[in-house]
Amino acid sequence: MKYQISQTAYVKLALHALKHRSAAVNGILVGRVSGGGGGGGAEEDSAATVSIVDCVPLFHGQLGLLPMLELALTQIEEYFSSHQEGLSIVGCYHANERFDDYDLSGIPRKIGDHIARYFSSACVLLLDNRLLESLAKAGKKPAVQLFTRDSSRGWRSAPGSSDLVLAESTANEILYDYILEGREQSVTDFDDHLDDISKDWLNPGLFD
Amino acid sequence: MGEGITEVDRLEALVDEGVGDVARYLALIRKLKLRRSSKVAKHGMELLRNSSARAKLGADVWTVYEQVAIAALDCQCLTAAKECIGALLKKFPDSTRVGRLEGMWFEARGSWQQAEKVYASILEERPTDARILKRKIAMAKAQGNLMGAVDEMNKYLELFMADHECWKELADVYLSLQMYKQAAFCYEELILVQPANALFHLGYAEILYTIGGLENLKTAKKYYASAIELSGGKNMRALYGVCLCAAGINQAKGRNIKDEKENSTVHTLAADVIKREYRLKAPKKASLAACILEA
Repeated sequence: MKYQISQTAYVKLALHALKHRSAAVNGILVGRVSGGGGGGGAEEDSAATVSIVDCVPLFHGQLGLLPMLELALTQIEEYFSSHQEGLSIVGCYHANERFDDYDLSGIPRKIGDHIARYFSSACVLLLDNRLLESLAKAGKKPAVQLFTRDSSRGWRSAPGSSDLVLAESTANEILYDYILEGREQSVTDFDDHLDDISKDWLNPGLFD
Repeated sequence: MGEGITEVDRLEALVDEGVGDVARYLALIRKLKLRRSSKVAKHGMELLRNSSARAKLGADVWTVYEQVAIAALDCQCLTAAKECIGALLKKFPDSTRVGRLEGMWFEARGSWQQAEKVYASILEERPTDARILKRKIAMAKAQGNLMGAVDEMNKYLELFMADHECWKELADVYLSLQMYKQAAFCYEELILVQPANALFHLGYAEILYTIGGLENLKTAKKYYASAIELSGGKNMRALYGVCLCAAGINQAKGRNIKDEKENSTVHTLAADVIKREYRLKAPKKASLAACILEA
């Protein structure tokens, strides 16, 4: 199974992490499967690609509590299945609190497990801070690490970087420009929405 | 608190344009204990390097040096921080308060052992210095030693058991380790210390819901309800929480019919408030909010 991430999803998740530099953040990945036989077993469909089309930033700071996560998952699934054809939840992303922490901790694993019950090729993306720091030189490589479920249902990091590609080669440049502008301040996550429901977790104006 | 933030944002915008009162902005940040380090460091350093602006601060200048030093450390501007700490050392050569800043400078560089030495020498004279004990907790956390941080916090709480900030921090670390029962205990202490704080009732409810099980859902619902009351019916998380608990209780096995009746009033009221709020403030999302409430 190959994985591809759109500029929209990639830039949004990076900006979300950058808005909350001293906290862990997470969010949901939304997309579809193309090619191959469908969203079935990963081993059979090596020709298939999971396209991560968009993402919804969820929380910052406290990520380990269930009630608002359940609420968010329900609303996200409901929105994308009724408003955007063929899009559903395909995974989640996570950024650790500390700069040099490359561990995928229990919380993203659990969320990933939950998503995998509905979509067996679910993936977890972990933000790579060193790559994010050197964006100008990153070129075509996304500043995230891809985790997928192996046959023993554990999460492991994909061996090479070729398993996750940026759908648009300009993604890192665009992200870099947005960072210079301070665009991350405009990101709204589900936490922000719960604090003030007039704020929209779909982030409609973010890339205008 | 809301008005305070609006005032700070307003001042910040003026200060960014170069026309605001930086001293007032910094004072408000201190009062509200906000973490806006890049702004504080930038505008603070500019102010401190300007001798007439500095003179206008009067005795406050030392507090500002401390505030800007910490903000600079937060942004990894170690030279700027050194400048501020240097000025403070000249004025207060034997101060343990400044000693803490020296330790923090080492921490910011990742020179953990040097920082440890600074703190150990202060603790020799003052073994119960709360500020330094907190640095030890922060250092453990910064190095990813979460269980070490938990140990330090438990030791600290034996000395300072009413320190709600530490109970909250401990709860947060337990939660990140998925040690929910221990986090729940911390929240019980928090509610004892500040029984009218809606956020503590809310936090406790969320942890109980996360642990799960019928009894926990029932208790969570009570704490969500008290959070609603204490927050004047405005807290969206608590309103949603009551509804989620009611749904969970209805689906759980082993419940009483009597419980079901009690259930209905609180959660129907909450659902009505949620629907009304969405109609008023977020009409596009109203149908999404409703879908979880029908469950």
